[in-house]
Amino acid sequence: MDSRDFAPLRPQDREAIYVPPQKLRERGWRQMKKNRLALWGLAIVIVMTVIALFGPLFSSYSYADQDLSMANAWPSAAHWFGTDSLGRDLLVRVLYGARVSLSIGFAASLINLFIGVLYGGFAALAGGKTDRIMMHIVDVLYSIPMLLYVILLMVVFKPGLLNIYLALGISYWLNMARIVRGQILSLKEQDYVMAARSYGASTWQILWRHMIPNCVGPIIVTLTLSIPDAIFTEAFLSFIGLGVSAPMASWGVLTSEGINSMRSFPFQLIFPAAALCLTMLGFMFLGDGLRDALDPQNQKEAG
Amino acid sequence: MFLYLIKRIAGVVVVLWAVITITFLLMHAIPGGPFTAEKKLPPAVLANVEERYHLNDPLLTQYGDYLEHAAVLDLGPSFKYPGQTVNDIIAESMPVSAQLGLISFCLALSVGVTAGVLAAWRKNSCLDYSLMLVATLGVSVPSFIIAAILIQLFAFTWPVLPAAMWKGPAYAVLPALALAAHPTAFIMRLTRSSILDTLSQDYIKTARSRGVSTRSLLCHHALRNALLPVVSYLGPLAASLLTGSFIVESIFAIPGLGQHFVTSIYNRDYTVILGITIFYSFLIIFLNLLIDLIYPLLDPRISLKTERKG
Amino acid sequence: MATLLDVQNLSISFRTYRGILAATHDVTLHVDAGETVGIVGESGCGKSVTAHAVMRLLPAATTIYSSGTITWDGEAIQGYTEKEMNHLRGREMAMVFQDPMTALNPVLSIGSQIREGLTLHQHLSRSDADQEAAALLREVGITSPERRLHQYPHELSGGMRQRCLIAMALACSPRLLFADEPTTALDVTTEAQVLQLLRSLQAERQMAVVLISHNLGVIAQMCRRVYVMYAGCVVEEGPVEAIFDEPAHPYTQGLLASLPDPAHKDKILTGIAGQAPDLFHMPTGCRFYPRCRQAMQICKRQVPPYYTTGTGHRAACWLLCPEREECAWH
Repeated sequence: MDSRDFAPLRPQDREAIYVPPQKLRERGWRQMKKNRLALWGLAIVIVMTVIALFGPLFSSYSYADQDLSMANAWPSAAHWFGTDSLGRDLLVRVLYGARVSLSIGFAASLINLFIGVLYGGFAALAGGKTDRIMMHIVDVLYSIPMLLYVILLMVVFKPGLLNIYLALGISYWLNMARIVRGQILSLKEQDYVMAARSYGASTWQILWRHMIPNCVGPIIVTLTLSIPDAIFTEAFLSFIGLGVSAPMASWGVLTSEGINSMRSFPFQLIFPAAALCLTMLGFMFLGDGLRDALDPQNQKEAG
Repeated sequence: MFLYLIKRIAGVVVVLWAVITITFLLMHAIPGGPFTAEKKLPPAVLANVEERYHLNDPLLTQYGDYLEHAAVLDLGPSFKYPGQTVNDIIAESMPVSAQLGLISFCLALSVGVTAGVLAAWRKNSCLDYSLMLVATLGVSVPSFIIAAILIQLFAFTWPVLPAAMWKGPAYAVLPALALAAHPTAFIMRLTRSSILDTLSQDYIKTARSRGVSTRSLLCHHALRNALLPVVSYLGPLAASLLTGSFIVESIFAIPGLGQHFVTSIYNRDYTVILGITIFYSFLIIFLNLLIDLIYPLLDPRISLKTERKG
Repeated sequence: MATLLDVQNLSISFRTYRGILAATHDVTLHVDAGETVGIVGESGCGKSVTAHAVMRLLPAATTIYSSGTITWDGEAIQGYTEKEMNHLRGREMAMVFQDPMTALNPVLSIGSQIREGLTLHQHLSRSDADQEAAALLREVGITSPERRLHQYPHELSGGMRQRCLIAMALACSPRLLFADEPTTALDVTTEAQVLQLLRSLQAERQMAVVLISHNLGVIAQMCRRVYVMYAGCVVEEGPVEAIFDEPAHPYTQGLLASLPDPAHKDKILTGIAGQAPDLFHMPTGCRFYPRCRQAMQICKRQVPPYYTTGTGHRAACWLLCPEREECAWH
């Protein structure tokens, strides 16, 4: 030790201890990356979507081509997944089914999102009596098993892809509406919104800068988890004969056809069922991972 | 308390009215009306239906009649089977469905909660991971696939249980398993996450600072709080067992209400579809009312005087 | 007086998503039987972590005890099993928590929560435990205690709940009570009542109290000795009077300078420039040097040892190094 040690520290000697602030989104992504299951889920969802979009283009068969001489053929080089009772190539039908099932999942969820965000957002922002009445309506609808009404809707209207989109879309927005409303209501109480209001920010500014960014997390999670729900419901409808009409095929239609011939031609069940279950798992893992990463309740542990 | 009960029952009446109105409107939204479309009806049925529905009356009168009948659960004649009323069908097939539903209900609740507690207790252990894997599979595989797998395994590959019909306790095993699989998995995940959430609360730390043992912590302090979401799920659970029964009863050829419902959908037996829908809705709504009345007993923060939020 | 609790060089870190977080570093402190000791510091400086570590209340899965020993009544308790710890917790040492709103189980009645410790450690019957619980509630100044036993936490006010928590902690007459910011969540008037209650209980029961607070005024009033913590380290320790009269560490000086003083309205409230370091990015050397006005070259490189000052307390600061004086002579 010498006198230099005790010389005053000059300003330039003080290293700047600057810690870059972590963005919430980056933190969410970082947490996602550590969650291997969620990444697998994301991978499955992406692969399935790509297959659904482009898969059928690479097959020499079409989903409706019948070849009765080849009926119920076991998997072979010509028909990788075998054929069904009408001699249609199962591989192309599963690929095409991906298109139908995923499109139902996405379309129904987007309609949910649209109605739910509008309804919930309006109720929360209007507040007071309007809010009470609107949420009472949601509560009333919530206590009715919606699937029954989807069935009724499908009975009344002709089964078809568009009608399935609509029936699922207009029946399952309740959850989204509740979550959006809850989120906005709790945000309205937050001090930073009060602060923004106190320095004169307009309602639009508050909505755009404070509310929407903070609602996105829960909305994405709900959306991700509602897609498998819609696919599930479509499979259910197909099973009771209310799915898409022949010769179109969804995974639901294919699996319920497969169940009938399960004893003699198990491959007719296994391939579509595997595709369906794998996709469901993918969305589940992804949804769980997103919830862990984006749920504000989980952030405090990481902080 | 009394006032709350009256308010709740008034609410239920409004819901029931909404249910009946929605079904009425849906029925009349069928192009050309439900009874004139498609093929010719047998004259006996036609007479029955005409007498019951007064199809030539103004819509409002029809609505009034419909409301009147539905309110006393008189659901009218079947549209496809002459001489049978919807009430007959329900009375005949409901007991079977109720048995199956009750077995699955108990199964889902007991297994789901127990496994969820175990997984939370041994968090991040091998047991936890395997239980959660099973649970995630359970919520991702549709019940008809589970039913198919069960039949293949336990009725054909290893024939120990009957694959169809409803003639005794052994016949209930596979259908109950197939029906309970999805809700069990859901309850398992719900219980686990809810217990873990509860265990991170401050009051658990307080209890620990008083020297409460881990087991008592879990059973006495955490379980009751953690089960509140499970109790909230009982209503949806009943609804999910109900819709699940459509599929399971069809696959296992069980002569229950669910199978009748599916058959009537295939046959486009509109009056039966509507009747059973109304009946099911009533059932679920009353179950929900019951659960709402039980809830305050478990959570002292919610008194019967104030309404439950969310 | 006999040493009740002796903590030596305790370092604790947490595993988090962002990496290892160093919560405390080489914390050494002791508590004698029957005395009141204060731990003071900004939020996040490791004062609560130290107390929770002693009672082993930190989440086991993510906590790393890197070094140090904890000795209770002459026995090292770090190797204790959870069961042995449960024997100590509640009976020998107890804790009052910061937020009375969340520290009580909302679905259990007050009575059943107080009874729990009594039946657990003293094996009282239910009716005896009920009587004892009522007596405890009366002792902490709650009116009509028999009625309160049947009430639920949400039916009580914040001050009442904190009293209930104190009653709960006192149930088995512990020898040491940790009070972890017991009044932070309360109104000023309630705060005074609760502090007065703690003081009289401490005197009556002859128990040791460790009062954790960020409020120097509270510490000065209640404690005999005080530990000042900064960024996970104890920077200064000693008798309250000595530290308040002649603070040796620049951080303590800064803390005192930021205390308002009604008697001297012209006093300039300086505060301390900068902010406490991020626990993921600790400065090398003295952890306070980036904010220290009197920082020297050595502060940046080397962790200062403890030096005893003229008034008999100890501080970890290079300014007190005797060699510095020598160097200055030449």
